[in-house]
Amino acid sequence: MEKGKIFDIQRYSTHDGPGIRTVVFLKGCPLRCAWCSNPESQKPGMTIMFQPSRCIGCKKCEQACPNGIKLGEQGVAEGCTLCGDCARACPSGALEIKGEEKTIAEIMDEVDRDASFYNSSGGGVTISGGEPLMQADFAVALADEVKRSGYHLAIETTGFAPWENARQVFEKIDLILYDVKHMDDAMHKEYTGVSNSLILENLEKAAKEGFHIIVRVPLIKGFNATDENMGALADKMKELGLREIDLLPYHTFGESKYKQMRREYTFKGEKPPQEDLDRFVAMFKEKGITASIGG
Amino acid sequence: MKSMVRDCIEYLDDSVKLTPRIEKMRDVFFNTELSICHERAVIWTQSHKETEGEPMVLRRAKALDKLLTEMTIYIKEGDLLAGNLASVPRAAPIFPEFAVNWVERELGGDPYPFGARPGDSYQVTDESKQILLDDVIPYWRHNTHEDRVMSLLPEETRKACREVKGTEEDWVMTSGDGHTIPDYIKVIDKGMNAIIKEAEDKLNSLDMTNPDDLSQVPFLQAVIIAQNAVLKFAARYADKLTEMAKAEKDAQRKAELTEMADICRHVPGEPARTFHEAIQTMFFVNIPVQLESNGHSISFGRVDQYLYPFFQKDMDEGRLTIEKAYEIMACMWLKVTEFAKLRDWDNTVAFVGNPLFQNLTIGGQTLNGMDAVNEISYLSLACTKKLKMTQPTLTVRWYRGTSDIFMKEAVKVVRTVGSLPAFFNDEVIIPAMLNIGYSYEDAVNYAMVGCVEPAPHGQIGGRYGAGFPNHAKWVELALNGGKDPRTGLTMCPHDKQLGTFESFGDVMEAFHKQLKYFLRHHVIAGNVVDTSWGQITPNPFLSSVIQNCIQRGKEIKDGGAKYDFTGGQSVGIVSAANALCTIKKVVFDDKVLTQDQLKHALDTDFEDMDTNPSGEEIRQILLKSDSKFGNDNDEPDLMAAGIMKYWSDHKMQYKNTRYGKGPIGGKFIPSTATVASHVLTGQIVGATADGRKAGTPITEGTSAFHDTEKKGPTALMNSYAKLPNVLMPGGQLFNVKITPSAVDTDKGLDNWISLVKGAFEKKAMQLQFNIVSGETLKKAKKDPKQYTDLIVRVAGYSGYFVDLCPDVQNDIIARTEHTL
Repeated sequence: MEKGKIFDIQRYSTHDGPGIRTVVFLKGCPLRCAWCSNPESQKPGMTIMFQPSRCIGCKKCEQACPNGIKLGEQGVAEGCTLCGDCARACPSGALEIKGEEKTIAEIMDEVDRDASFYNSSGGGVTISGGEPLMQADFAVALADEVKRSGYHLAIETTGFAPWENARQVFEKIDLILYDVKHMDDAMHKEYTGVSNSLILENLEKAAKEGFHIIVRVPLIKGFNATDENMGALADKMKELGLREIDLLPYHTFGESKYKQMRREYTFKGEKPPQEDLDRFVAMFKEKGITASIGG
Repeated sequence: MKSMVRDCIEYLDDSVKLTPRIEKMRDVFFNTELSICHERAVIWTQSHKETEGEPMVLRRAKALDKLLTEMTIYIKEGDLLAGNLASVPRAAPIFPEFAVNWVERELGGDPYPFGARPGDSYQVTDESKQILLDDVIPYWRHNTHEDRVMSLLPEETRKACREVKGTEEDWVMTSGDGHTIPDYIKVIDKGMNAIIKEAEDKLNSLDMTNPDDLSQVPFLQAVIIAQNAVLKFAARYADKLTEMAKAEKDAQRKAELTEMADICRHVPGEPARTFHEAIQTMFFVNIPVQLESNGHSISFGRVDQYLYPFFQKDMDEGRLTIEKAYEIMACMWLKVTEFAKLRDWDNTVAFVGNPLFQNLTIGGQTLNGMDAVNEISYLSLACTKKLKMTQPTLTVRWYRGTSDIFMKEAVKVVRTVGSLPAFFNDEVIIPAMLNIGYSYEDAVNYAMVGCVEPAPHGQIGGRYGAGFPNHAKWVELALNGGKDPRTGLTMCPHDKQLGTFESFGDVMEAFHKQLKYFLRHHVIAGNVVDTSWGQITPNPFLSSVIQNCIQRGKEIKDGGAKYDFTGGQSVGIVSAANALCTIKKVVFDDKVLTQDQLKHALDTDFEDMDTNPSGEEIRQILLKSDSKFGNDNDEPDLMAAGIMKYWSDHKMQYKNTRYGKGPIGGKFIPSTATVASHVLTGQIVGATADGRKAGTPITEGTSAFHDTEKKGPTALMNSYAKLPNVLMPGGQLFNVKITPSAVDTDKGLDNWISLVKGAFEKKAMQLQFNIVSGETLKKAKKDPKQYTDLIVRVAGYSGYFVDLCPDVQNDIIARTEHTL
């Protein structure tokens, strides 16, 4: 049976599409956004997280490791094969594996459990990432199963994938939450590691296909929260006939995860002031676009 | 929607403030300390000295008569309603006929002087103290309800309850019952003169040569005395109000006092004619019931249904405005809140916060299955929202026809107040009541008593409250061959114990054996308490306002009421399920630990660090094990469901003291209305196999244990829905914590309503919410291990608070305080 790499399934998610939703997070992402709030989603393979606050210092992890890797260095030290034995030996849950392989059936078993809440709230399922289009075949198979069950289905995507991959997934989807981080290619490259040209091309193609799209922007002061960038985005959306945008003010929720991955969070972003947010909402409104703050 | 309904909804708007009158009364309340009033104790004692030798039911009617004739009465400044429980607001009367040992002990400062308790302290004057010690306590020593209980209680049951404490029955041994909805409707519609006539007619119809008839005479005489006593009580207020009106300079207040005097001259003797009279009547029923019975949870029933015709008529005929109705109701809310009940220290811990549990029910369906919500439902919500007080306990009934508009206003009240109202599901409660013999009409008209106990209107005489059977304790006993490690006592021995069990089936067998053993003693204790209440503290007034008592000529405890069930509030069911499921998984299925390793760890409270794995490592293994209720994980959820069903099946086989004497029912019924007893009852439970440390709280109601729910609110609701809720007619208690920021937007409110509806669609029984304050978040930051299940909305998403960085936590703390 086909398996996908999943790093989380989050229930009662209320900010990734309408109503109460279950979000299936697919692992692996081609972008490296400097502010990424889910750093464990980036690598396609397994990631080992370590939470010192939960560690009771028993060193069962060291005893279990075939390569003699020390406490606190699992998953990052040279010689680590990411076998996961350390996490499985950890009695307190301080070590955790992210990136299990799951079958569609296993995922649906979890998804189905909240069906009555999708009904009562107008919610459903959201496929997110990482970048779910990196596992396009799996995403298609999952989407088929979700739709066969009759649930509303959304996807959260960066749009960075070959169009053919994107199209075959998008066709199955009720609502596409499409991230556009920056309109300026140089800035985009600098802060995400990739060019925005494929992203914007795919956005245009998706819009032409008539898919229901809500554009999403992580709003970061000092990066993209400028009148110029917002204006360019509004023009682009107007040109493509896109009418909805979610403005997501910057937050640092992911910071603790960097520590758990023993990485440093170096990005110095700021949440834009309320007056900027209000002005952006008005700018979009002028172009006939409904902007909302938050998801 | 009718425009009048819309007008009432406007009272819920944040821009609408309390009227100056109510604001002032509320301020006075918050500046008044709880205190002790000796008046009832003194008058009651004097009366009993005068009536020695007479039947107890008559003596108590005469004592009530003397009390209502002689006690201090007062009208608070600005109040629109008459009636007081003690000589000053927020004072608790003393009920020496129930127990005096603890009163004497605590007056002497053991364990705390009343005025210096760490929680719920009561001021007591030296004069009161002396009067109680000299004039009251000596008369009652050896003659109280508690003394009678102790003399009736079999020694084995005493040990089971008071030493091993496998079931905690103390509060009913030292207090009264309560737990009822008196028939306010009957008094409002017919008046007490009609009830007196009913009792007189019954008395005149008796054939005195028939011993059964003869036995009814004292009760019926007592009913007549008690009802007349209340008429005198009302007349005293009428006189007082007339006097005050005469002296009053302010013309508006003078008119109000005159009107109130007229009302008190008319009701409760005659049927109420107006909305104001109907509410006044309720207090002439409620207060005497409290003064007589020493119970809590004297509830009000479906006020939006039975007050509505008066509201509508008064509005139609131009006698009433919405603002006036709102003010009268606010006065009612304030009066209910100012009542106080003194409990002994141990039970104060179990019932901390001076709760009177005077439940008031709104919403739900009519007999025809239509939405019952009306103007009074919204005004009730408005009173609770604006007054922000702990009483009355507000219940919102939900059924499939309840509108989202009403639900949205109700959850907004929860958001403002923090925890009121609670939500109850008609679709489960009505079938649960039908299942134990309630008629369709009576079940559909249910209202809440106390915390979560569904009851009919004016048809049961109490007994929803009973002891606290401790399921977690029985797991501990089962693992130790029946021996209690704390006391060394073995009440119910069996051969196998942790170390020698051959399979997990053996563990369950041992647990079931303990359960059945302590269930028997819970039943024996419950019936002993009822027998004593019937003999020492019969309630003629309460019986006169409970249907069928007068017609049968019987007091409630003799089998007078239409329905009669004995409750009992199971505590620690989820703790037991978590512990058992963890043993199954860790010891028998996955074989991570041996029985001996686990036994040693439990015996040493996980503190022996010299074993391998060490005590703490074992605790972590147990904590981490995916074997806890509340995560939509079938194995632990079905374990909890199985315990609940087993308990219900066995408990429902036992009869109470009224079985076969007239009432429908006469049985014991299960419930999980544990109040705060999980803290007290946790103190005697050693370390448990779910990783809980010895002496710490066990689970309350059917809520998940505090750091074990990891999968969010929908998973939690699914776990709850798997329980056989319809087999818990005594009520389920289910607490859910939400941070204010999770529901501070319209979208958040909508999702919250969807969560409630989704859970109720799949047969959850009851839901109550804690909107957690910034203060709690600060504590969570300091002591994260105690708050791991706290969900917060961070920005565009939700997360577990303790997993966040300190800066984000600070941000949320600041925002939360801003929101509230």
